Amino acid sequence: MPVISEGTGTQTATLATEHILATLTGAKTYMLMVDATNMVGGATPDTVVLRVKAKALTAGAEILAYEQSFVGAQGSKLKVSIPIPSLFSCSFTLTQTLGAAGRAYPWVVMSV
Amino acid sequence: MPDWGMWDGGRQESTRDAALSAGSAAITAGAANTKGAWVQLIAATTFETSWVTVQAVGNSASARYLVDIGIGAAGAEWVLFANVPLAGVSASTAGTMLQVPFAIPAGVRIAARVQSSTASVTIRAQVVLCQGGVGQAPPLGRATTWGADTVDSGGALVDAGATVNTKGAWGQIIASTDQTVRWLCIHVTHGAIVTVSGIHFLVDIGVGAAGSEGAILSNLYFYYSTSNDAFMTPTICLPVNIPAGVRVAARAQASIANTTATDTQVDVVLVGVG
Repeated sequence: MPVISEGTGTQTATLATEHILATLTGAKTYMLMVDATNMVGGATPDTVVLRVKAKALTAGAEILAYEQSFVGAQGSKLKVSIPIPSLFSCSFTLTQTLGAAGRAYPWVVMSV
Repeated sequence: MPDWGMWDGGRQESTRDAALSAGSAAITAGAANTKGAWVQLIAATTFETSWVTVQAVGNSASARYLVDIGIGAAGAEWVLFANVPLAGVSASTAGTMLQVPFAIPAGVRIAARVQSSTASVTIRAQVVLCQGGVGQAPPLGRATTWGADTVDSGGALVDAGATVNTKGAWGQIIASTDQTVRWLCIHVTHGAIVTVSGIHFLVDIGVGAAGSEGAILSNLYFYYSTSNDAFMTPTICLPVNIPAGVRVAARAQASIANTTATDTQVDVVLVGVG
């Protein structure tokens, strides 16, 4: 089963802004991978929320499917989502809600 | 035939002060209701955790404690778990404060500090770090505390009300949750010294707007006796799914009515991870 890159880049976060990393409409199973190497702790520790939004029917808007937060310097620095099956539309977002500065997060969305 | 069990165990280490055969050196509160200095629990963790247990012992009767667990170099600590009530504080009683599926990186320093309703009292604390656990599920990454009241080192007051064995009114713990929480530790301590011979409580945790609360955790049992035991409670940790942006409340019923104005009041603090 081949693994394909559906989108990739480096997102430099603006604090409290939800960045849409990718919106994908193919009927596939997706996984998000984010490199959190640049996250640091401190008095205002970097806090990042990764979200996956999708929809069950072709009509309507995407709604939240999964969400995971991370705070401070990370031990396991590469964050890999569970596989997300999507028929119609699926978006992956990154929000840095706290931190001394917005950090750069290399990311890729893959499909299988 | 049942499913194949997914339970397992892995690595474990415990912070300690081996020279004292204690969980830690003494951790001293500051002035009344003011955090004291950080005290190191471990200089460097040896592996990334998937499960964290925090326990502590207080040495002052009838005091309330709120404990911070932090990580970072000395002088640069930042709070990982904030204002966790120290359960089971009698004259010399240990209590478990937290059991959470949580990732703490390898190689980090862990420290603790405490505030108390009584100035300069001390506690000792231990963090038990585990890697591997229930099904090796990926641990959670962010903690939050709802309801802690640093003004009196207590929690959000919830009153069981005047009618015995009947749920009282919902009391707000937080107006709007700041993050999604999937594991919740429920700390319920008594708001004051119990004046009766003992009082039983059943506590609900609910979500929803005022007047429209729905219980998501029901009838958690707590008991308080007289004197020091008013501050002795178990801490109950359970899986939940509480989204960000919702109101969280609690209510209680009690086995007896007030003999003073505060007998039916409990302090509720919730520590969640998500």
